[in-house]
Amino acid sequence: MTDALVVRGVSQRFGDRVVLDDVDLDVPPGRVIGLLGPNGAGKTTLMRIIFGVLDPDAGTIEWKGRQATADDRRSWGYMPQERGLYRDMRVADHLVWIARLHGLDKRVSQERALDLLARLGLEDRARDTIRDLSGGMAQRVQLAAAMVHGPDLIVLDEPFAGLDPGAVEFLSQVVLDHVADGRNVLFSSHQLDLVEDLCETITLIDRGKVVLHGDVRTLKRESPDRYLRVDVEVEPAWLGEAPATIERVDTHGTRIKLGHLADAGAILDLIRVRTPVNDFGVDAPSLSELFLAAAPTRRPNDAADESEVDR
Amino acid sequence: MSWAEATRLVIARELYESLRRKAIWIVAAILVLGSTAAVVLPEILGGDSDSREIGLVGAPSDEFGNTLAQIAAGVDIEIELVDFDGRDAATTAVRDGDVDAAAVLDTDPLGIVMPTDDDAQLEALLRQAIGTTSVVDSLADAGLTPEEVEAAFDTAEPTVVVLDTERGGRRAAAFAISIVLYIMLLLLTSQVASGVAIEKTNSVSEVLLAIVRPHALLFGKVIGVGSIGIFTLACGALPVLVKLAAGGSLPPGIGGTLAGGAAFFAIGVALYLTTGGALGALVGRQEEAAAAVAPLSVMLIAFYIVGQGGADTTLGGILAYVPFAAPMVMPGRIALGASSPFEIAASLTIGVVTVLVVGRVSAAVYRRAIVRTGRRLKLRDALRPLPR
Repeated sequence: MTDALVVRGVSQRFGDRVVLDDVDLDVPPGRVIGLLGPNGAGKTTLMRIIFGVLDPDAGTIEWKGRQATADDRRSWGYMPQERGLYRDMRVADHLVWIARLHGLDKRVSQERALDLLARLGLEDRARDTIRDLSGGMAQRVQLAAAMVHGPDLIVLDEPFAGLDPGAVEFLSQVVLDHVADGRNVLFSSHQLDLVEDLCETITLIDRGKVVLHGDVRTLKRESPDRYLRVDVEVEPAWLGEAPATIERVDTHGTRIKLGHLADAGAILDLIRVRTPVNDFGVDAPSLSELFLAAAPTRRPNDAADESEVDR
Repeated sequence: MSWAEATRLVIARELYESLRRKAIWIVAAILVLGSTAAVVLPEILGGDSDSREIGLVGAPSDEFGNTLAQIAAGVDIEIELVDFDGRDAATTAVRDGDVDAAAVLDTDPLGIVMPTDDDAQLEALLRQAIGTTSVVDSLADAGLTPEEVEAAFDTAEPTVVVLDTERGGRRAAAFAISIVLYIMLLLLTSQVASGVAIEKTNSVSEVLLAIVRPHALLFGKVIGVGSIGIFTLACGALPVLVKLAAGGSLPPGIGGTLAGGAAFFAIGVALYLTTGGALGALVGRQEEAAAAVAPLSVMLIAFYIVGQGGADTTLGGILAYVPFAAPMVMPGRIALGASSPFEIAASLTIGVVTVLVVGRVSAAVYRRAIVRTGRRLKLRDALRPLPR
């Protein structure tokens, strides 16, 4: 399947500061793509470049195999980090206006706006001003504004920031529904643990550089930091030549560090022929741990003071 | 979506959002009522303001009354006379406001009683009437016949020829137009700047820039805010125009000043609002919008002061060719007859050309600045292409 959105070699400087350095990113259809990294990593700048709001110093943005045009970009939907709406406008008026800016006629715009509000559970707030909505509701209206023209690609900048767990769940479902139709979603987040289950593919950036990218399952499988945990005491001789070493044995059982691309099931079998195993598991690294392994000098939040560009 | 269509939608939003608010209608209603009052009240009260009641004490004949009426007629004031017995009664009547002033003619020296020291014109009329009466009496005492006395006064009466009877009215019109223009430009410029600053700090501009070109956003806002400004201005001007159409007694010569004022107002709105929008895009926080347009406001105030005080001076003549100053000095120069048709045409042409240039530069600044969030940008940084 060809990737819908392809970013190649994007670099951007503001004065002396390098914000993005030779960044590549692929957004295939039907998959949830996470653009992850700490605050100030350059995520928002990259999204602005994707939307043509900023012209990059170098690099290309391709859409369906050719250079993205202004018309292509208008067909996408963009939800910036928090706000992004006229707070004094009425909810329905705002959505209709955005739809009309996308070139839809008045009647279609109104239908779409009301339909989306119903889907997002906001039909009774259509005539309220955005100022009067709660944070979670405003975020849903923001999402509606990004989707009102039925875009093929939606790009969401930090969509989960500041939301309660219910709202995160709701928004995640909307994202999954969108890709289930074979369409494209790219979203950014600095809360790696929050989006762990949602992302299928990630691109991790730090200080403007891609430090890790790929399929989450593959990344975890290929990580050198995988452990097999069993509730029995394992003797080193049992493992033989298998690519695994015993790290720790205690009253809970044994923790075995797995070698690169080791087959955890095969190693479990080596133990099971010696003794029955009642409880076991593979501890793969979390996204945070993958990030720290890829950018070892960083802690996830020590870039907050560089947040001028990437608020 | 064409550029023009996007701009039209941005303008439509500005208008719709302004007009659906109560505030704009309250302002409009106040302007209409205030302006109507200013036009209608002088008509209603007009009869009173041009006549005076004068108390007389001890007038020997009709001589003083006739003389006073004659002199007052020269300045369009009608005199009604009321006789009083004695100075005390007349003074009480003046104090109570029953009469506007009193002349006491049975004392030596003769006396005048005024309620306040405000009405210098009436006081002068009374002094002149008393003086004239006593001169006439003296001449009669010296043996001149009444005909000879009258002849003596006729030869002393100068003939006044007023060459430009409209200057006063035009000056007043120019004064009113510049003050309205000045206030409108000051308000609208900061309104555009804070509107742009709100969009920037709210990230609204980010969403919109992904859909439409920055030109459409900037010019749409300028035209939208400018139109609302012109709408409120029209509310204030409507009663004046109705009166003009109905042939009321407006200051003569106001038509040309109005037309000139309108043309330069349009140029001023375009220049100041577009620049205000670009400066508003430089801010890092919404509250900085006022500070961002401060240089523009200071410039406007300076040009306004020149326009009020010295439109027909050499400085005014130079500023006529300075596009940002012309809207403030030209209405005054036109009204005072200080400008030539060449100057008006040249000033308008320079103005229009500058509008085009400022429009391009402002759009470029806006485009670069609106996406640079965080701290406030310097204009220089936004004008210069981003360093590679």
